[in-house]
Amino acid sequence: MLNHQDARNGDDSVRRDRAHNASADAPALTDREVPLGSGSGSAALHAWLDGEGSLAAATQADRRQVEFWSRMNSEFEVRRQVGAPADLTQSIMAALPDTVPQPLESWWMRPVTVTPAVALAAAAGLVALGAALANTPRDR
Amino acid sequence: MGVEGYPVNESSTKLGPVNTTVQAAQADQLEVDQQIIARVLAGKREDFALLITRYSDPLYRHALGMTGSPDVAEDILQTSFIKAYHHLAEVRGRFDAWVFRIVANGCKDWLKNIRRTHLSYDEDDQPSGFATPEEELDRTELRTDLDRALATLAPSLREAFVMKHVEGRSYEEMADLLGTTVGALKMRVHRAREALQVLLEEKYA
Repeated sequence: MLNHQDARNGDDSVRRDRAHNASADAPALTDREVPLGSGSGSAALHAWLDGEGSLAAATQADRRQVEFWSRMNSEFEVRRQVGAPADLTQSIMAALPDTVPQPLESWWMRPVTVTPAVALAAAAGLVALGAALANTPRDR
Repeated sequence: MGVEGYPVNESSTKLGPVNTTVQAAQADQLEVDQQIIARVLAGKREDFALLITRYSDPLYRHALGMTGSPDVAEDILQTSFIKAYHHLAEVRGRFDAWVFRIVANGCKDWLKNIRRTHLSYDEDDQPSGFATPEEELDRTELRTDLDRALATLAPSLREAFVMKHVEGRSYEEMADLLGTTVGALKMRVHRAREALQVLLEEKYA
């Protein structure tokens, strides 16, 4: 049976463990679009991070989080400078077929060539369909 | 740079409309893309390289942010551009948005199929502006922890977070590229931030 008191007491240690051992093995967080925490500090922080609020307001609400995200931003800035490998274009071009791309058409959009055999088959099909309809018993 | 203007550098990766100037530039970009596509379809296969060169950097950053692996990001870009070439005659509207969706779907498919045990950027791929080995070591640790934390996010949360913070896109541009609403994207980004805070703040706050 779950001991809720112990579970609550263990929150801090679990949180610390997760901070130090964040692992790819952890289950993915779900993408439920439910209302966010509505604290004013959180709102001011998100507004600043979204470019819609001031740094002063965010700092006043939660200085620690502002420092945290400023540090994260330093890493994001570095990542923003990363470019594709220099030889990527060349390797993609080498992997392309020599033919020019053609539009893919659905079968019903393709032109039909009517040969005598096709015309005969179509006529036979229509006669068979007509005969089948004529012989269908009617209730009334 | 200061943090007042955060998030920064949005203009460097823009693919979508934000203001009149950007819209005008985008119209020019659309026209140039259409001209290149017409030339490729007319038989100038080598002009496809122009399209790759124009868009490979932001697309690579997206794939790298989503997968955490330079090799995988390169593979996804290669596969995506080959697919784009095969279907080039079917492009309607913006090529950049169309090819972005191919890359984004490739990343999400990869995330669905692969569970990675180790995530890291290739050190050689990253510019280094740190003065001392200690600073470089700190950054390496932060980078690894951030990658691991990002890997725990659901693909749609990670996608929104990477586009907002790593690629520096506006919500309007993200909504345009992903075909969803600004409100939904804000929700995803906020959720991703809160998840990352829980995972990283004890160590870095």
